[in-house]
Amino acid sequence: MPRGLSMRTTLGLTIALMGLLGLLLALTTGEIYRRLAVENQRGALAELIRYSVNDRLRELEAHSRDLGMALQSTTGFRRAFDNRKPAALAALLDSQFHQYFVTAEVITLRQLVVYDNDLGLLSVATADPSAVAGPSSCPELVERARRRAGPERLQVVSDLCVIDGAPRFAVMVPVGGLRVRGYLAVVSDPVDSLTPIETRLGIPMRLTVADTHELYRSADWPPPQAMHNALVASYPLASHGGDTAFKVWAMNDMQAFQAGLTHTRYLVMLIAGAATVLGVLLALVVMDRTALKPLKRLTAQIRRVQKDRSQLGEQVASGGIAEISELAREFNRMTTELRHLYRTMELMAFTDSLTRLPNRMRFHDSLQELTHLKAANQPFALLLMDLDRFKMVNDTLGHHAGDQILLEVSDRLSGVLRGSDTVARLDDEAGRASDGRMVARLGGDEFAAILPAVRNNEDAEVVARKLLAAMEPPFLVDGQPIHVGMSIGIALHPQHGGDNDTLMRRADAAMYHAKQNGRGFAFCDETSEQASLI
Amino acid sequence: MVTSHAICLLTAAGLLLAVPPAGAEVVAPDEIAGVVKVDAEGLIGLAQRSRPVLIDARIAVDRKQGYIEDSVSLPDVETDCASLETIAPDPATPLLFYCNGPKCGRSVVAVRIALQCGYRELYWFRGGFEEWQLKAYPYLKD
Repeated sequence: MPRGLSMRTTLGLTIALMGLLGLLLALTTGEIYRRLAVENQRGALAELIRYSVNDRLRELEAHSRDLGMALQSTTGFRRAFDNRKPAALAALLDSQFHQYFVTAEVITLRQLVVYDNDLGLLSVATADPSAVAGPSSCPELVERARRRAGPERLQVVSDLCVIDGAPRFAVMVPVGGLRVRGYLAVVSDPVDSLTPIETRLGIPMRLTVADTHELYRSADWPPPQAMHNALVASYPLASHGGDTAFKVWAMNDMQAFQAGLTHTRYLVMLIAGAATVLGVLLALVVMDRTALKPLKRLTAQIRRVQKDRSQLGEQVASGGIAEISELAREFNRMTTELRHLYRTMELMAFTDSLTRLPNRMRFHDSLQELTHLKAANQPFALLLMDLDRFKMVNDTLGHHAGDQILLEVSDRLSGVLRGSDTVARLDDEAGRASDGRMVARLGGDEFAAILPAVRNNEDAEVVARKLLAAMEPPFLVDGQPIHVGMSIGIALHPQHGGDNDTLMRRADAAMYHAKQNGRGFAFCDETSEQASLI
Repeated sequence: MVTSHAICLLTAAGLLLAVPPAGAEVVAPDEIAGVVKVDAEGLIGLAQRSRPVLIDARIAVDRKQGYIEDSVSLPDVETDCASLETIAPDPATPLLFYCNGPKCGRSVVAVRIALQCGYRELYWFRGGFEEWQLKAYPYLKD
């Protein structure tokens, strides 16, 4: 098995990783969206409170103004005011705490303060007479009213302030109609005016001074441990000067929203997981078809070639993705080239480089085949041939001349074996006739031939004489006729030997014998004594 | 010729019909000849100088939403020389007229009647109650 990760694992892991990354991205984006949505809701909630609170304060201002204007226009008030009768004025103001506006809870009246034209204090009435006398009205508002001039002094002004830790809403109206003679401040507690917001909007609310001191808290305001599902927004209520008088807090239950988000998150995770698994499966199927199978075909072919060289050149069907298709094409090209190369090498190893005849090794292989591999009793003749006087030619005329003669000899020998009495044609490449006849150069001036189907000396002799006859015409070397003789030793299979060593030895002895007595050829049975001597 | 005369007559009649009826809600003119136009501050300044009679030319329903203190209610539909005389017998008395605002024509109608009745010092608060309320000036409610 190959080491390292397989393509399947790599691809599967990659897609799974991508899926995981996508999922993380989706979850991160979801979290960002959640925060944005929460912030957006908080903003909307704050805006809603702002709108409601300002609406309620405008209403409170209108009620306070109407109360003040109505009071200052009564003849009783005018008389007490104009005659500067503090006792009468105080009694009149006190009685207001039991009038319609207060008893009907339109406003929660805390103070009524009367000033002269220069904002000098004339009379104060308080809701709780036993309370310690603190500052009357909102000091900032009084100061602002004092600084005015011209027609502005007629304007109704209002402000928020905190007195002794309690929020106050003060409205100042002029006394005396178009000819202002003094002022009347209507001071109320705005908390009671703001708390109806909780029922109108259906959301729990709190009111605090300086964030910590709680003025009001809705009954359904959740306990601290249940606040994780709550969206809280606050709106600061500022005095005219910009100081925060108190804060209004509102809460929205986010449980449904959070549950929806969680549900969506699980759904996204499920879909992403399923998509990833599906992606992996699909990719594996596609990869199997387009890459793995063609690759396996290639691998299998390479293994076959390793076992059996004759498989070289076998083409593999190219298919699959472009790269693998190209690989298959290149493999096919290479295996074709390798086959050619292999054949060439084989040829070179078994061929005599000068004459192109089979060499000694090849000749021995063929002989081996005939004596061992094939049916042992197949008859054939082994002829060993040695040129006479060749050494002299080589020495006197040079190797070049020798080579030319050797070439001519091989041509003539081949010509005889392929000659008129045989229909066989020598295969150039194999050096062997299709019927099994073969001539080879064993080295130097030594040649050999195999004549299949030759059973007796007479048949062999016919061929030997033809071979000798072929040597008779002179060889022309640089226009000079040269006579080269040849001695042939013949051994017959199976009568002269069953194995090639014996056959070779006996043919060699016969050839030696032929050379000695100059007869041209000799059979091994004629030299049995010598053969046995060797 | 006869036909063209008829067309001219018909066109003239159409123009006459197009004039809006008096007292309806129209945009008040910018100026009224013989009358001094004032704004809210002008009204306050005038009240401090010369004690004019403030006449609220609106009908009772409109007056219910609030009115300037010391103003007298006299709707334009009831305004004539006799009703004006009961409020201000002396034609030298300064009179100031107002109604709901620039879209209300009642003060225009009333001040023109007062002009015809011979009142010599006439003021017209064109912005009316709308401007008064907007500028946070005090008003009474019955």
